[in-house]
Amino acid sequence: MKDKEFKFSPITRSLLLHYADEEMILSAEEDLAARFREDLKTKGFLRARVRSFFHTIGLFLSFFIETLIWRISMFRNYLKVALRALLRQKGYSFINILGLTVGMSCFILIGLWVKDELSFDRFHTKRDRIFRIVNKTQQGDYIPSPTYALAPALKSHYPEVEEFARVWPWYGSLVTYGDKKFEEDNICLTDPGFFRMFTFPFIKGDPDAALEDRNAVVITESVAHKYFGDRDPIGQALYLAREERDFTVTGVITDVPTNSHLRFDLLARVELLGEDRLARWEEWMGPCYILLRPKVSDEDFTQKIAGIYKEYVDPEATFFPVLQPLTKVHLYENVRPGAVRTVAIFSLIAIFILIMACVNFMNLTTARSSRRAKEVGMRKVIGALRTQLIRQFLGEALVMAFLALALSLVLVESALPHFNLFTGKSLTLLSGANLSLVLTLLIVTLVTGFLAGSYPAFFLSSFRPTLILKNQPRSSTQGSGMRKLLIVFQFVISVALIICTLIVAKQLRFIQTHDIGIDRENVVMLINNPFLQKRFDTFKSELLAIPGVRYVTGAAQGPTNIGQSIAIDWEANPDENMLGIDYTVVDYDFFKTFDMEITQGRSFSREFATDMNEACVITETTAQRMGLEEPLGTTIYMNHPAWPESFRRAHVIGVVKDFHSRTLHNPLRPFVFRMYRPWHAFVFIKIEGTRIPETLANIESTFNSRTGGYPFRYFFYADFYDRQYQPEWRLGQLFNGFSFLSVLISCLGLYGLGAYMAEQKTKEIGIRKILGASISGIVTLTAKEFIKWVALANLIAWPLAYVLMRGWLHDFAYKIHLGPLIFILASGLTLVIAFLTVVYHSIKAALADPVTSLRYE
Amino acid sequence: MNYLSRIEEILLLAIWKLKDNAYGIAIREQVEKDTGVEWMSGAIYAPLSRLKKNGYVETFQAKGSTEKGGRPRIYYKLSSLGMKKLASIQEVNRSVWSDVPDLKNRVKS
Repeated sequence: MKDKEFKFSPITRSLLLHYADEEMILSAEEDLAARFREDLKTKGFLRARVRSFFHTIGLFLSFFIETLIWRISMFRNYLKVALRALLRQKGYSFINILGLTVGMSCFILIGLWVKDELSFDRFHTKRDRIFRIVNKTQQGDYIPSPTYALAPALKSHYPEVEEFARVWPWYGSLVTYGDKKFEEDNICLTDPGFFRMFTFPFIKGDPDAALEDRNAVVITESVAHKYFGDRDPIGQALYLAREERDFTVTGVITDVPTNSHLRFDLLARVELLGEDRLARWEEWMGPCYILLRPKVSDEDFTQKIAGIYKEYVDPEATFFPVLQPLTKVHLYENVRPGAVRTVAIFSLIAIFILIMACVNFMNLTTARSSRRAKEVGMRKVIGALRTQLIRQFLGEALVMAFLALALSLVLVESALPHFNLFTGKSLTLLSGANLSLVLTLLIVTLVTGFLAGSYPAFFLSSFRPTLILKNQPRSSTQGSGMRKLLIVFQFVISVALIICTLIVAKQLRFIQTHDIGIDRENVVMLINNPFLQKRFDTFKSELLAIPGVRYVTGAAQGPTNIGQSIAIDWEANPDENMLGIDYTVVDYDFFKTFDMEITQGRSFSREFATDMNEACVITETTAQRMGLEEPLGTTIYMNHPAWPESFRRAHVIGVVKDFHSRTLHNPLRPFVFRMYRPWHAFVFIKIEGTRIPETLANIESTFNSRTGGYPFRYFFYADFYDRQYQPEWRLGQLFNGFSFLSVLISCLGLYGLGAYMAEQKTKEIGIRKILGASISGIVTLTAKEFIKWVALANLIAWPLAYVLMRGWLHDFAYKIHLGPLIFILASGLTLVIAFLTVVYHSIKAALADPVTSLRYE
Repeated sequence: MNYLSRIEEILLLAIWKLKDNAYGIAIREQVEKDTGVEWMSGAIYAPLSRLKKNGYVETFQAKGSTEKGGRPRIYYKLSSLGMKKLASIQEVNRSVWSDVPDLKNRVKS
């Protein structure tokens, strides 16, 4: 019977062949067959079969483990050889690894940053069904402030809406518990559906019911700790001074993560705004979110919003609120795609720097390895196989690449705290969420090491040893065409980055020094409170008594960050539609405080009692846009739903010079000032530029004597203004850093290649010197070659940087002119650096004694 | 000096003892005879392949010697390196065990 004879099946055999050689398998098979025959006699066929099966498994495992151990020990051997090669050329290895380390570190840092930006609001489990309702304007901008009547109406009309939550960033308030008293800025008002929609984990309390009560307040962990320490906050009463009553804590959530666009410390019910305001269809309020039921298409639902909008607001409306997915809110915030552009720019930079570093690494590795042609010849003569040489060279390159990876991980880990401080994020390197980044890096490292090692591995190992060892005139420019191409590539990126850096810096300087039409120096900004608002005139006169205080005024906000607008109409309006115009409300002396020039008429004045209720001041641009020759005395109708009808009409009493009410990204917009004291949330004080500390101390004591309990807090308005440009400022700083690093990497590359070239030409230079060449002649000879390629790189980089930066500047309504000077400057800079790097080597070579250099080799 | 593992030592000795007749089954039976226990095939052939890779053991095929079924039978013998190794192990063993009395009597049962 055939089965009575034991044999490995073909599958077993081929599996075993992976781990053992043919002879070994034959021996083992014979052995197992003998056992099988034995067992057949004593134990019967079935048990014999089972036993031989287990023996085969055991055999397989043993061979497998044996091979594994063998391979590891072989790998250690390669590692040893590679490390020796590394240490033999310390300087070169250092430069090479340093370049790659810097590149990888940049890549990791930016990668972490980009990943964090993209992760915004993704921690909500229902994120795919949550949408923000935004108004779309004629210009295509999104304004996240629909009427607050819309969301409840949608919920009651359409079963598709599961939940809605209006989120109103409230005024700050003084909050008291026992003797603990803090000013809280970050209070939001919302609907009970908020916690059923968003995923903010509760430490205590029930997310479904937390905000059902009108007097409920939900606080974050750190707020709870601040007021209650270790006590249980649930059921405790917090006194909110703005409302002058107690609120009950019904829930404690973990602190809001940094990658949430919703930011708050305390949450209360939106009804605090007043029921009438919530029910009004005309007023654009604030952010509003809805949760759609599963499998409801947001596009279809947008149509339904349009329907309801037509029904309640304007049957002839052509622009409707639309839905914006929650996960896009951060990247495409409001009007312009702000964050998404920065993310794109940085991703691009990260990839380029990494490519640059890899190219650099390959460049240096290949340049150096051609020097080892002789070693290859020798090894071959002694009997090295080609595969062994390939493994050796690949191994060396891979060891270097992984060394760089390890170093860069260490570098990033130690740099992260500073980077976090700078970017205001809390990034960590070693967390499970970064697995994909680490994997990417591993692959990049492998590919870089492999590519860098493949030239020597496959090319050099193919040399015939007799030719190499006979020292045939082997061209020293072997593969140099490729290397030149790579050098050009590196410098294109460096030059482009330098140009970008210079342009960003220049634009930022332009913003800082641009005349925005107001004087923001020495203006102190205090936060107003309900207590003070009622006694503002007394407070003002007391402040004015302080030496060093020049003017005091109040306003709803500073004059440079005004976002809200209003529709106005007037008698002679040639257009059918009302004019959209920015506005704010201010107190007496506002224009003096900010040194704004009144060109016609007058400012708000106490001498005219009617100024409080029926006066307005417009800017020159407004007068122009309204087509008014004689603006003074014109009656303007301002369609503000929150104002009583009687307050909506105002006469123009003055015209003020134009100023930039928004950041310089925006063009000048028409603007109107009114007086409306309930809304004056800030106090502005213009002080003398001398003895500022004393003046501030006096203001503080006056403030403290006036307002029971509100802590004194102040800002300088100039700082406040600068903060508006923080994203640009950060961009500028990061550009500085990255372009410095990229230039460093390309110079490292150039330095290494320069050293290599000079070494290759040692003999040539020696002969030239003997024949009477001057040092300068020799230096020019070697430097010319490199400078040529760097110059070419400049020519390519110019249009590249131009196109890139024109796109960035496009965001600014007020911007610098892109003159040729910056481009020339950047090119000059790189040329000088490149020249110095190369010249250093050629001088060294040129100064060497020709006798030694001719004896070389 | 790179010491052999115990099984390597036993295997080398078994092959040496078997002289010209050291093939798979014979080696296993020799080892089992020397140690007094049964051995899994894997425990024999994996170390054997290591010995071969390290160059302590060589293989050859004796002419006309096939096992049943017509497959060639592989024989093993010590290489000169293996022989040297075995000699040095003997040296080491001798000096390690010198002055050690018979331990069997001292084991309390």
